[in-house]
Amino acid sequence: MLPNGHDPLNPGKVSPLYAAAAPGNTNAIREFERRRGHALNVLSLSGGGQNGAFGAGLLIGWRESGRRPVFDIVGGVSTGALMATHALLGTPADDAQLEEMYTQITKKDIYEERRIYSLATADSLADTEPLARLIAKHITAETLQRVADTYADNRVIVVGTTNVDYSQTWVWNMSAIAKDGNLDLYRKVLLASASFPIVFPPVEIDGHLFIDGAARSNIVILGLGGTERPASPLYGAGNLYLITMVCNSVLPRPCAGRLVTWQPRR
Amino acid sequence: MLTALTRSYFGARFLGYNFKMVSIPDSVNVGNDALAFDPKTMRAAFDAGRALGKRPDPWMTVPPSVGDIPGWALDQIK
Repeated sequence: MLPNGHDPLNPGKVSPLYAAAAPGNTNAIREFERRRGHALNVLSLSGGGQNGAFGAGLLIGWRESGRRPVFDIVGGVSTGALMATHALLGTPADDAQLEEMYTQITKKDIYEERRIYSLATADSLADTEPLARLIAKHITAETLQRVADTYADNRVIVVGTTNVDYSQTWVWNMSAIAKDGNLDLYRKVLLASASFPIVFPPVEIDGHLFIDGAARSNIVILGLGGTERPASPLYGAGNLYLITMVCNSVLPRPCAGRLVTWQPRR
Repeated sequence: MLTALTRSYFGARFLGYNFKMVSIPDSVNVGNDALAFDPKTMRAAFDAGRALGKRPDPWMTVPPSVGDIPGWALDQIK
């Protein structure tokens, strides 16, 4: 049993959150439309390492345009997961934190490189302790309480990781974790979601190893999955806003897809 | 990424939702290493995002590439 209350699924299957908010529900999006009483504004933030700075800038420019909606559902993977909480909370102070996270850091704030020979004894090429500290700085007990408060309003945040043991996309209901007040787990899932394989060490949660959600799917959106076609929207067409931290010109090849150029220090 | 993008597009349309996406404009040099966390590159990407976000309608309603999905299938979900 995993900490979010679900058994691991068969390899290749998506976790139930993709399809349903709870067992027996038809589709998560339809369920949250019912609870919210209107068509939803869904935001999805992709992975992309340092290119997350583009997404942070976009969210802030969007606010400055006066057109940015309150997001009902936010999904994030990897760097997108790191900014998803503040995107959901959505105040100017949260924007300021995003700006700081993506314009005031260097590599040293994310990871420490290990020597290539360290792979003989270590599980990865870099140590992500600095990233864990960065997450802890921006995700505090107060942040967690605010996420829990939005969940009481049926607004929800989900984060995609990859379960190494099952080679499976595992989507976490971060709002449920916040409601439980489990700050340590919330931070761990964010770290896992951004833990690029081989370079960064996997994160162990309840005996399972988790890594970057982008290893299997760089985008996580609630309600895309399951075995049945969704029913029609309850309140007309909502919006799925997808911010991809990927270059136009290299789509479908992501910028992050060129990571083969990364050279370990010798 | 292509699979994830195509799945998102189809998923959004089958959910009866508007699909709106942005990605990094070609004019922005984001370098070759997404794990470089280089302040200059990140500042450039941030500023480009901010400028795009301020535009009235920065959104694409179809992904720039949907791989080998046939045109007739795309027409069904427009």
